[in-house]
Amino acid sequence: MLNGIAPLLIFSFKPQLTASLFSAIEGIPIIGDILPGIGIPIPIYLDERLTGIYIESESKAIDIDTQVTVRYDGKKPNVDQRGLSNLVTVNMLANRDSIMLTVLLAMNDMVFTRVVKQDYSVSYLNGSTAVFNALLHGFSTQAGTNDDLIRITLQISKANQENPNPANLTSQLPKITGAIPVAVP
Amino acid sequence: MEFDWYKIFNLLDFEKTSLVSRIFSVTLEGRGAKDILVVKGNELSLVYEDVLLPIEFEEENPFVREGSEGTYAVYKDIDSNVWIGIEVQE
Repeated sequence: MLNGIAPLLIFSFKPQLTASLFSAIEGIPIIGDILPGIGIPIPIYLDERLTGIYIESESKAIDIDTQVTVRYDGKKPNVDQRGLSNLVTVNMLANRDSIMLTVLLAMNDMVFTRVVKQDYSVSYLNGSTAVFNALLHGFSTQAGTNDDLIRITLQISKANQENPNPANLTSQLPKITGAIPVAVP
Repeated sequence: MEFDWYKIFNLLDFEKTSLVSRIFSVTLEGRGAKDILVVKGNELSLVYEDVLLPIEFEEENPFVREGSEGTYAVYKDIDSNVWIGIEVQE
């Protein structure tokens, strides 16, 4: 297995460089390019014996939007496709007393504060499933009433790794005000 | 009446595609992201904010129609570019 002894979840957070430090290293060849991108990886093994968290089930789903537009001259229809989502969903069970569960909850809270800047990444390795530098799409936990287990659902999105959407689908259009539009030559 | 005009597409280029309809997803300056449906029936028309705007309907150019949210217009210029107009609220 690529992950080694157990399935592995890695949260990686990029260091938040202060403006003065960033400007000091920006011009340095190689280091200036690499250092801002290096993250601090925090691995979490998903193994019942090691961390008290284990994987109950895993699934993958791809959602694609397909728009078919017919032509009135009888030629084959025009088909536009774009990727909507590419998700890996991991359902886990954790012991309520697990320390790593607390760490996992804290990691997701940290990710939540960084979603706009996207200066984090999530990697997941489990047998044949290997996802590197992906984004968190969803996270939820549910406590059972009849046992001391916590049910966790983690969704990882690979949307940042492919570009299945046409680049010029949405464009900014300038306005011209008047009784009729008169284009500036 | 004054309108804010936005150039959406070229009529000749659209007719070459032989498409019956097409949605243009655009970001209008000052108004945000909008979807404009272009549909070919008896006339080639735009649908904006649920208002049907046929291009040069009964030879009116620009063709103006009032909707529930404002007054809209469609205009075809001499180069066959199609513009959508939204009345400027004073």
